[in-house]
Amino acid sequence: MIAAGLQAHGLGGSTDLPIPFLYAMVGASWALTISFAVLALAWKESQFAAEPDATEPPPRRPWLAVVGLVLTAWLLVALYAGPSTAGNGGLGGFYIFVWVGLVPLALVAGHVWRDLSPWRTITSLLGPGRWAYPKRLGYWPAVAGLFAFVWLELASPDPGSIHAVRVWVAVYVVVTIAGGIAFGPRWYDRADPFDVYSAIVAKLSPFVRDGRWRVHNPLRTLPSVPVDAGLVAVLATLLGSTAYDSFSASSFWQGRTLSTWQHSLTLLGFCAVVAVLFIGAARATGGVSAGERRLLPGRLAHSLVPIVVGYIFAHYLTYLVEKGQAVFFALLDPLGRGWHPLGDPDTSYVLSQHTSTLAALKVTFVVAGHVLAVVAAHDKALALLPKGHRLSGQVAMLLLMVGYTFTGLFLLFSV
Amino acid sequence: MRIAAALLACALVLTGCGGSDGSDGSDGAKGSKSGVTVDIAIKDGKVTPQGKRVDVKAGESVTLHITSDADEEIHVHSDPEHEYEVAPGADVTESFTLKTPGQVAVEAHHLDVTIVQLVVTP
Repeated sequence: MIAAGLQAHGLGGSTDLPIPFLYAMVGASWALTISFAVLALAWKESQFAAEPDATEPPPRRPWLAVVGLVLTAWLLVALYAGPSTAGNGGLGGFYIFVWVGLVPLALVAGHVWRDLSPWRTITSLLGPGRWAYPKRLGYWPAVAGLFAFVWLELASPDPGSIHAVRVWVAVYVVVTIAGGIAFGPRWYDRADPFDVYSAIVAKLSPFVRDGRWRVHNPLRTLPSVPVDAGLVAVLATLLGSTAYDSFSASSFWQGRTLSTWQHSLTLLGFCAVVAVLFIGAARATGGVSAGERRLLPGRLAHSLVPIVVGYIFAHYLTYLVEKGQAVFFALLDPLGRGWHPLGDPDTSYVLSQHTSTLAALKVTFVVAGHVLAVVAAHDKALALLPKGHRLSGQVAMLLLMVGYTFTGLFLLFSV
Repeated sequence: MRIAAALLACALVLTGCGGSDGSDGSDGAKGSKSGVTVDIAIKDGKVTPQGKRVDVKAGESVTLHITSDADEEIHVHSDPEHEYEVAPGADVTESFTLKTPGQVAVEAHHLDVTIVQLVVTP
């Protein structure tokens, strides 16, 4: 039996200790105080709205496309030609470097995924696409892809199974390339789950703007997340699934024996609750027409990005840094032949060993994400809401964000 | 700028809390003589306990006392991993120590459940 079982996020190994109660309380009180301070004291005219969008993103850089092809080939060789065990470097690389590493990469280097993407490279060689991407699909294919990923990672019968990951990746590659051939680059902007995830997080990068290095205030680029059908669902899938990941490690949940269906529906439920609450809170204002009200959730969706990123950092930091080391060395030996070009060092557990520092970092990520989100939502509300409803129209969203953050801190503290 | 200042203040306060770090110099190496024992019973397709939390000190010896009426594979998801095969009628004791703080799941792989979560504190 090669299966690795039902451990958290696909790979074995330990998970973080719960954060101490005091830390959760300090974080929660900061989040609450700053939220209402922003509402009451911050600027009364929108500062960041109406930034002109970059007309066209700059061309993809060929050297990065080559790097992307080489890295992808390496990962795929390790995944399919490497050992069929849980220690396969391709398996770990997929769960850690592709899924989790994508977020810090986009924060530091912007949407460099677009340049690296081997699927974009391959299909660009085959022509510009046969049909126009159907507008009404919006981000929904990416939502389906993201949900398929989090289902594999968190709710499928055996997330650590190399076989399951091989099948998942094969289907992903075929669908992605076929879509790219059919619809051209637009397919990747709207339908490739990883490309879309990276593009959205990159709007929060303080270092890269319009595809090139330029230090700036990320609150100015955040509102330029392209709004399209399904955007709220993209973010809700990311936030809801991460919350489910924490929740499913609780003794309350582990004490029950549940079927794959029950796990899957609960995961879906978490994502749906995040989305429904957000849509409700975004619409809860007076003084707008029904048509305008329907557009509000999409127009405010960008403000959810910092909460997602902050919580994902808190949740996955040790996973990326500590499991990432073992996976890195496994990837240097993609075929399992016992290659150790850099020696065979033990994993350094500096983060896990400094439990208080780790807890402080996690709370800081969550609270920082919350503050950025509240500020972004406040600013956008000033631009969107009619004069008489600017204060009252924000209250529901503010309370919801406090709710998300308290839930996140509660999960970090209790599980 | 106001935001940057707020974030900075927030980070300072939080890391200020973290000043007294949890590594109390013990380095987790002493390991009390008694250690922690977890009794695990696999009977009629059920495992007791299931999903329980057990507190352990880093470096302390952990003993699993397993009785089983079926073939089962017990995995301890630490680094390095520990795997114990048990056969029907087994009554075995296995010991190990955990060095790194964190939560380590002990799972029954055929039944696909988490038996206990070892909460390893420094």
